[in-house]
Amino acid sequence: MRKLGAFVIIALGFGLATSQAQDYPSRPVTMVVPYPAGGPTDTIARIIADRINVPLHQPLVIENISGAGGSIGVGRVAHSVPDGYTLSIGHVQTHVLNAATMKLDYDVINDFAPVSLITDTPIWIISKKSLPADDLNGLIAWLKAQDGKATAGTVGVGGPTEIIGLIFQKQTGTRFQTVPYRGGAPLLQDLLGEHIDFAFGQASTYLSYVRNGDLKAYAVVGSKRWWAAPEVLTLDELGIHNVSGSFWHGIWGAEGDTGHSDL
Amino acid sequence: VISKLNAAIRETLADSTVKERFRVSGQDVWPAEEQTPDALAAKQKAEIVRWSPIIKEAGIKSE
Repeated sequence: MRKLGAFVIIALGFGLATSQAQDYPSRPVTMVVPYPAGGPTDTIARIIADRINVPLHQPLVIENISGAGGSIGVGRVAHSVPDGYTLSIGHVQTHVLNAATMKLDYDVINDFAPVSLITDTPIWIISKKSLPADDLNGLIAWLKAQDGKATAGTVGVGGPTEIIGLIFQKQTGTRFQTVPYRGGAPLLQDLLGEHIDFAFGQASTYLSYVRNGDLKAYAVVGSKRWWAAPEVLTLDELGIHNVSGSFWHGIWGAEGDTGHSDL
Repeated sequence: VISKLNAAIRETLADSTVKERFRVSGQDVWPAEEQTPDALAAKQKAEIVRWSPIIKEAGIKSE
């Protein structure tokens, strides 16, 4: 009998925990993209939104809330009602680095319930079409000749691309100004418009432009060549080590009711 | 709720049209065995450990 009693209590507890979850989702789910429309995170979110309505039986609505290196949009989710109706798509900057380089009013670990890893793309060093260098050594020589006046686009202050830009300067003995952007989309426009000289950015954003010859790619930041453009050498191959990073993306819910109690 | 969301995402990432759109846009989809809450949590923690000394070396400080 004791055994049966314990079983009934466990079963009741389980029933309570799952009763709210059973009819989820009964209305559209919002996913906050913490960057402007048209950028890489936005593109990933929309590809998912176009299909996930089938298994979810509800639409996934994308809301772009950009600014402060993605921390405004991510903060919105951190402070939202944890009912599974507000999701956060983010990456190595928004859910890792911002915690180290910014003062946030939320915790990137404790305020979120991880849902899944989604995608990954390398970081590239790319330049405007008219930059005279044809390889990385040429770029380094050109940067040295500019005497600190060259401009490099990065996304956000304290993001992986800015950090990699700073380490790149140290390791190559070059100096240049980094120009932080709100997202990959406006950075791309300024690079195509030649308002900045070069950039550190998510390879996926620049792939089609490099293929068309509208931009130049000098290196993969890391040690592994990328299948989508295997001709681009890695920094490791070019003798610059200990600089690596990739833009992996994931999706989180707000920690709370959506968290482990419902698993 | 999380398990329902995860299942929906896994089904979405396994869809051939979605796969093709990601391939064209230069995004690698994580293998199915890593499309889990645990894998994302582990990745996040590993990246915090990996980037901390790099941030110090780069000299970026909290604002």
